[in-house]
Amino acid sequence: MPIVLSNVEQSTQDDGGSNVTIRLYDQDGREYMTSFRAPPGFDIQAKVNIMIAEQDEQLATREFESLLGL
Amino acid sequence: MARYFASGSGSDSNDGLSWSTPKLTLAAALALATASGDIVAIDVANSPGVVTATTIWTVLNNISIIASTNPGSGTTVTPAKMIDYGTIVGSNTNNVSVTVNGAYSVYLYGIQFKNSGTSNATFQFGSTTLSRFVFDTCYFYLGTTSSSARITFGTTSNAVIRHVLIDCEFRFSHITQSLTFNAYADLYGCIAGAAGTLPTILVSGAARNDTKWYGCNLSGIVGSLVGDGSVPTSHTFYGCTLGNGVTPLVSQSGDNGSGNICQILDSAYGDFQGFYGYYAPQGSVVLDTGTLYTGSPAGGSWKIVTNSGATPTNPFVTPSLPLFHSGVSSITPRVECLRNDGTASAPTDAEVWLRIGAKVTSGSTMMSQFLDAASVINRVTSAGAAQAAGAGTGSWTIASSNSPYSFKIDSGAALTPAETGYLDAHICVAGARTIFVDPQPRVV
Repeated sequence: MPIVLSNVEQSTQDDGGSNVTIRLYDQDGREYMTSFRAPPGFDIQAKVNIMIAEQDEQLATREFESLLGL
Repeated sequence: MARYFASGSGSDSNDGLSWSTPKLTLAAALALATASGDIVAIDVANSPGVVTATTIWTVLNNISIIASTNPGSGTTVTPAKMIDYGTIVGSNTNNVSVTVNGAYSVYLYGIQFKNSGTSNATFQFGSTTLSRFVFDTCYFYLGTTSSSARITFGTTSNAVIRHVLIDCEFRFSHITQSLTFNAYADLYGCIAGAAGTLPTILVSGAARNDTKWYGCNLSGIVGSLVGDGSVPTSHTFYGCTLGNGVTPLVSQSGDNGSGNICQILDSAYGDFQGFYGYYAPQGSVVLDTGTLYTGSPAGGSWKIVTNSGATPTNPFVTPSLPLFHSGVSSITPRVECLRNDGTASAPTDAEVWLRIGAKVTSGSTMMSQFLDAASVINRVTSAGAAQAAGAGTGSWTIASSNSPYSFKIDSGAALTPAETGYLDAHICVAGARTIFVDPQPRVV
């Protein structure tokens, strides 16, 4: 069940940083939401890519464990 | 209250009663410390704690274990840090697990715990029920490169354990290594991620506990602070330095509210003062300085973001918004809100509502609860009526407009406080949405 959709919401802060919320969705439509504060100049897309990769890995692990009945 | 001594240059046939006759091993010195208040001093320059196999040190009473300089004779204990001498308790070459246990109040100063190798080898501290370990200026160095190794405090959730860590440092050697708190813990001035391999998640795999971090330097942790909760835990960071773009709480399997909680209080990366964040399985609240009710004394809004785990019958509920109120006449407390998600209409009272406590019964401290939520049947069926219009979008400073709509939530009915005191407001949100609220409940 890989992540098939991602949505990034940003709200700019008075120091130029952002409050960021990332909503990831797997193929079953389940939502995985995280929020963090990005300082000015932070590469948000790079973080999103990492989070997608990590969530994919977690989902794969859970699916594998489920198949094995763990 | 006796003093016992151990040094890598000693002998276990010595009596261990002075630096002239120290024990060779930490285990032998600990075996002597059977009375409350005893001190075990270990040679900071020639450690008696080097082992070649997995080792369990058992503490027999309320004692102190202190790394000390060794003058060669006498019984003077001068605390020193093993990290400064390059000495350790554990192994520099083997993948040994290290356990220090005992159902007592134990004080440890200056100890560097370390292991090595490539296989799974874990540190385990204070796992016996009723144990209370205070680690002062200790260094925990997970040197094995095993992905499974952990630094663990406490054991099962049923144990009565609460530890303290002061000016301690944690170092890891694989990105999936982490801290595991199976015990309540307070951490003051600690450091993580300053050296070694940076863990992707700092705290993971814990069991029902509560940790509080005060003035800690976590700037090296740029992944996540708190992992997914197989059993629920709560972690609060006060006045800490955080990593660049760190995620406080990863997405929780228990997104119905049963997972972990993380709070960030005046902690951030760089010089960003006064930040507040509350991260729960169903959503989060953060201080937002870009979009706010103009002139709000709070200097920002609360940005509330929720996910689909929040429902009308099991909503995301914010921490308390307190308002001190001294009047005893009828009031209808309200909170001004802004929706700015491309839909310029009010959410329903099954989607966003206010729950507020007020002391309306004289002679009692109990707060009665008032709310403007939809009826039970409407919440069960996700129906409801639109919340009332607020002060208007002109009353808001909006960083980036996206069809904003101003609305308000209130106590649902007028109430008359019987006592001077605090009103206790909580915003309840159902469904995946983003709203901004003025964190200043208003009564006029």
